[in-house]
Amino acid sequence: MSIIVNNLSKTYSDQKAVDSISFEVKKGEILGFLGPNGAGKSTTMKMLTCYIPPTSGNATVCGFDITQQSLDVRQKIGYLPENNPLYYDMYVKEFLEFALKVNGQKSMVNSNQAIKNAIDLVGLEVEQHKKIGQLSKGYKQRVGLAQALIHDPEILILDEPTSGLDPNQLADIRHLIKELGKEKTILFSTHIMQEVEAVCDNVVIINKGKIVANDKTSNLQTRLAGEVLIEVEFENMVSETELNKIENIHAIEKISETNFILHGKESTQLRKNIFAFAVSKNNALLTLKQETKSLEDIFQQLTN
Amino acid sequence: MTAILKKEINLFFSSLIAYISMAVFFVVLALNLFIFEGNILDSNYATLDTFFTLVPWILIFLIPAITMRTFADEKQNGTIEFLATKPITDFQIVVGKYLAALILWFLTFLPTLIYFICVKKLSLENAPIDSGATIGSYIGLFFLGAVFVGIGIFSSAITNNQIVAFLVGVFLCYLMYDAFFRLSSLPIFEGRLDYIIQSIGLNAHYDSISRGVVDTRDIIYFLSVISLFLIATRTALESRKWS
Repeated sequence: MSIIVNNLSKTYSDQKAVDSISFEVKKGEILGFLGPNGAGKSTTMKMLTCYIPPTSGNATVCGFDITQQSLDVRQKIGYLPENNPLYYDMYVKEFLEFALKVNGQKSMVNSNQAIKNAIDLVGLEVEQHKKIGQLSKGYKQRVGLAQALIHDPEILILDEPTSGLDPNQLADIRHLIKELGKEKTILFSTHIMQEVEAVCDNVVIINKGKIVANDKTSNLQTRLAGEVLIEVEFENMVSETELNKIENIHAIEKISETNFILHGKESTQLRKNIFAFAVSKNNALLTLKQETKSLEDIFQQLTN
Repeated sequence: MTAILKKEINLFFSSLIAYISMAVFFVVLALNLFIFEGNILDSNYATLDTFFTLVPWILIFLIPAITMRTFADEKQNGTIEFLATKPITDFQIVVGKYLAALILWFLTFLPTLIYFICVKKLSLENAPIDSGATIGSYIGLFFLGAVFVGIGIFSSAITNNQIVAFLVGVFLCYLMYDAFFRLSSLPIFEGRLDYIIQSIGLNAHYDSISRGVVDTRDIIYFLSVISLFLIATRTALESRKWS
C-alpha cells in the first residue's frame, strides 16, 4: 500500500473540515478524489503532504507516518498544491533547478538530466526559456506538474491539476496524468466527473468531510445500472396513462407531447415492450435511445 | 538551505531591491558626511561619529524594507506551501532566508568602508582618525544590522501583507534600538533597574563596541537577540499547524 489513511480528521476551530475518513491507495493506482468545493479534499491533501497536522487519526505514506516521519514522507511525494503557487519572477529552468535542490538533489549532472526529462514529459520545450510569470495558465500548470515530478517521486498528490484550463489543455493534462499513472501512484482531486471517468482506476467521493463512496470507477457506474433511462419519441401524441400500462416502467418524464424519458428496469425487455406498445397503437417509434447514468448523476445523488 | 539562500539572493539582484537599497544607503550617508551642513570637512575633526549616529536611524527603515517580502510574499502567493511540503525543515527555510538578507546587508555595508579610507587619507598626520574605535564601530554596526535583519524577517513571517511587515519591522527595530534606552532614563527607574533596562536595548551595546572595545558580552548579546528572533520566526511559520 502506498497511502493508508486511517480515521483522519481535521477540525478548524468549530468546523469539521475532514471527519474521520479512511481509504487506501495501492501502488501504481490512480485514485480520483472527488467532491464539491469545500468538501475537505484540499485539507486531506495538505495533511498527507505534512503541511498541516491532523486533529486526530493517522496516515502513512510509503510506510512513513505523516506526523512522526514528516521529512521521509515529503521526500517520497511530489505535490501540486491547489491554485498552483509558483515564483513568477523565476525562469522555468531556474525554478525547476530550485525545486530539485530543495528536494535534496545535489549532483549537477543528474539535475540537468532530470530537468530536461521533466520538461520533455510535460511538454514545456517551447516555453522553457521564459519567465514563469510570462506563461499562459496552461503552461504554468505544466510547470507546476514538472515541479511535482522533478525528483521522480513514488507518489504524486495533485490538487485540482486541471482547474481553469481550456478543453485542449485539459485533454493534454489528463493524458499526462494517465501516462504518469503507469509508473507512479497518483492521488488527484477534482470536482469534474468526466475527469474521473477518463483517468482514474478508483474513486473516493467525499462530501462535507465524510467519504460517501469508495469504489472502482467502473463499479460506481454500474451501481445504479439497475435502473435504465430510455428516451423515446413517437410520431403521434401519446398520453402518460397509456405509457404507464407498459410493464417494467416506474416513472415517466414528459418532455413534450411525443417525447418522453422512461425510467425502468431490465433494459432489453423494456425496449421490447415499448416497441410492442408502439406497434399496437399503430404509432411509429422515431427514437428509442438508452442512456446510462453517468458518474455525474451518481455524484449529485451522493452529495446532495 | 543553500538552495533557498541562493534563490533569495537571486531574487534581490534580479529585482531592483538590492540596487536601490545599496544606492539609497550610500548616497544618503555620503550627502550627510561630506556635503550637508555639519559635514566633517567643515568640522575639521577626523572622525566618523556623524556617520555612526546617523546610520542606525536609516537602517531602522532600510532593513525592514529589504526583508518585508521574505515571508509575507510567500504567504500571499501560497508558495510557502510549496516550500513547506519539501523535505526541508521550517528552520532551514528561516535560516536560508536570514543568511540571504544578511549577505545583502553585508554587501550594502561594505562600500561604506570607503568613507573610512577617505577620512583616513584626508586627516593630518599629527591628528589621525582613531582607527581602533572606528573599526569597533564598524563591527558594532554590522551586528546592529544583523539584528535588524532578524527583526525584519520575523515581522515578515507574522503577516501575509508586506506593508504590515514593514511597519511592524520599523516599530520593533525602533523599540529595540532606542525605546529601551529612552525608557531607562525615565525617573521612575532607579538604581540598577535603569541599567538593566538599558542593557536590553541595542543602543547600549552598539555604543559599547563603538568605543573600540569588542567585548564578548556585547557579541553574545547580539547573537542571542538574533537567535531569539530566528526562533520566533520559525514559531510564526509553524503557527499554521496550531488551528
